[in-house]
Amino acid sequence: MMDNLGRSLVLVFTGLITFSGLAGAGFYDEMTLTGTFESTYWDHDPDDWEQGMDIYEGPYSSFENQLMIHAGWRNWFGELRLRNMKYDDGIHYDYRSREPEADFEVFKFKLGYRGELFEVTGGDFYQSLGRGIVLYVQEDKDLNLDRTIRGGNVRFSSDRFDFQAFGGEIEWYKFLDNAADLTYKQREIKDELIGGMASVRVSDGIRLGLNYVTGTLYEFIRNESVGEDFQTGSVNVEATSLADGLIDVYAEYAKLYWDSDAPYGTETEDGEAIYGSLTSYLGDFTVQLEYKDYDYWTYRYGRPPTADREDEVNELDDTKGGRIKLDYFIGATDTLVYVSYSQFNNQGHPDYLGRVQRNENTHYYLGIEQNWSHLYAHVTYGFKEYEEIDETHRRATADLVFTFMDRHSLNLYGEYKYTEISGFKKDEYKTYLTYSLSPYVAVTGHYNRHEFDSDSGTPSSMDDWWAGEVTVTPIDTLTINVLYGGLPTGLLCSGGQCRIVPEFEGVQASLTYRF
Amino acid sequence: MTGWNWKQSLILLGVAMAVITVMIPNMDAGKKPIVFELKTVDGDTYRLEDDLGKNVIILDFWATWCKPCLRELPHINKIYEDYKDKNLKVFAISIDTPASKSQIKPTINRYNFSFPILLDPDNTVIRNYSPARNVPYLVVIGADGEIVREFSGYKPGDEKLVESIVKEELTKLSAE
Repeated sequence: MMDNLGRSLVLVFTGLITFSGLAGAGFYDEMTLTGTFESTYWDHDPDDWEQGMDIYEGPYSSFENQLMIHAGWRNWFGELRLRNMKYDDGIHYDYRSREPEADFEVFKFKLGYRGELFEVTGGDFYQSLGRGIVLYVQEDKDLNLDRTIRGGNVRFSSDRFDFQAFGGEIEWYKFLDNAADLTYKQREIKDELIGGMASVRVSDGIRLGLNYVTGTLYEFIRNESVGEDFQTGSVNVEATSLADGLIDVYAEYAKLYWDSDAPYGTETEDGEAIYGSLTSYLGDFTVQLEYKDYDYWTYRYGRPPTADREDEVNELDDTKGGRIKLDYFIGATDTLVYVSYSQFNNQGHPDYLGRVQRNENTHYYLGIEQNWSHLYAHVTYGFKEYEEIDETHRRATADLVFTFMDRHSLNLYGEYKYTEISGFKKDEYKTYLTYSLSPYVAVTGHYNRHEFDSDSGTPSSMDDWWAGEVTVTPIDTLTINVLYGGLPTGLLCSGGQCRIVPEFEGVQASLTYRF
Repeated sequence: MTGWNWKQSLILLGVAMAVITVMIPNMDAGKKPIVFELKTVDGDTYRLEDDLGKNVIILDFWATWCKPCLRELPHINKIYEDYKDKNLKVFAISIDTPASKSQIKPTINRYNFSFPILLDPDNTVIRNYSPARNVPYLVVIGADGEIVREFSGYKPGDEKLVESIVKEELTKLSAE
């Protein structure tokens, strides 16, 4: 540990001395340097987890510091993310950490050269292709996963042609040798990927593209690591601003092939995916049609469009159907009205509960957004029903923002969700009230409640979370945030900003300084 | 708090402060924006360095699912309309992932935004400006091609401050 720390510090200070020495030579005139220092303290004390929602029972505290430096000099650029993290329980397991008690480490790094038409990068990079059907490697804050491809990436880009080739490893999961082993020895699983894309502009607003990825995905089976080879590729066409800007079209067709010689009977059905979108702009009306047909698309690095309400994740792997969405903007009153209707089925494949039958679902929602001079209001309602398996979802939201005295505002948000699956019912309430009393301070109170009930006589139960939050921005480059209480996982908007947070109970304090 | 390795945390903080202290003053105090190249929503290529020092620039990172962004952007659109003929350029940079890319143009049309939209689907550019990827995140680049002010989040009234900075920088630009 200290050896690593020592080496890293020597490296950093050697760099500083070198930079200082170059100052007199005018080196810095052509240099850019930005970065962020983030320090977060969590005192996590869960006392009433939702059953089965968390496998890491018990309280823990963590203290995490991260320094990210981005430097550029002429055509060269580099990035370094140093991280120091500490868990006080010694057994806490975290997807992001290299080890359960990782100390000081170089978390991510990259070095690159940018030419007029090309860019070469070595190190860690995020990558997606097309609409994310054949490749999507990004940070997932919901799951606390920050995955990157560590390898090389070459890109050529002109107004007419785009080419890209990349390859590397992805460390995606940390596996415990034995859940009962409190030493928490870990095994690393690293997937290997090679891929690329090419696209060409065939005429104004029309581009054709090809995407391809191959590699080996690793799984843990019978206490050993097993690799499974795959190939996936897609062809896509994108046409924007057709018919004098009235129509946009996008279509992508993808195939996924698995190695049939995979051991332990892990052979998987080959997959196929189709996604299409057509949007038409008719004055104050916007009409959007989407179609998706994903068949056996259970692929670790694929995240195709859901064609669903943006903040409601639905089945991604095996689904077929379409939706129509209509927006109407009433300029005279500054009012926006929208309505969406969709119909999908599960292709007759088993769903996540193992139910094997054709399963149609109907989903509609509507919303009204209104702006007055000092008041903004946004109200929505949605309903989704799975006819064959007796599953129902309803969701209503209301968002009100009242501004006064130039820089003061009150933001009240309320949300109600109802879910009923085979007689089991869940009511979810989410509310927060934020008072921004200046550009420098915002105070937020959160309340969330989940209620469970069933027709089968199972006793009803309830979880609730209270939290208070203060955000201070004394200067525009420094933000200090303190939260006390509990929050369920999900999208959290407060203080005029949105972020995705994991489930939490306790105290969080964070400091972010940007330079 | 027994057991914390405060020593290492403090050393890391010290390194951060040393970097700031040693390097920033040596770079003529100004903060240069990190240049980038992104596609527009219509597939054209945009390079930031082409506009540095020639225009006052606003970069506003946003997403279709971010409500504060959609409350801020109409104000920025008005500033753009008022000053676009006076060397102001505004780029709204969408951090929507590929899965929600199809929602970007309908959102633009819904709110009648007239400024250009750039796409950052891998979130590479926003990480260089705001590593936590919180949105909205607004950057004003002044007449000398350096960052004048950054706004993390949107609070009512921010738009007035943005407009006053833009006016001041446009005055400097026209004097050069």
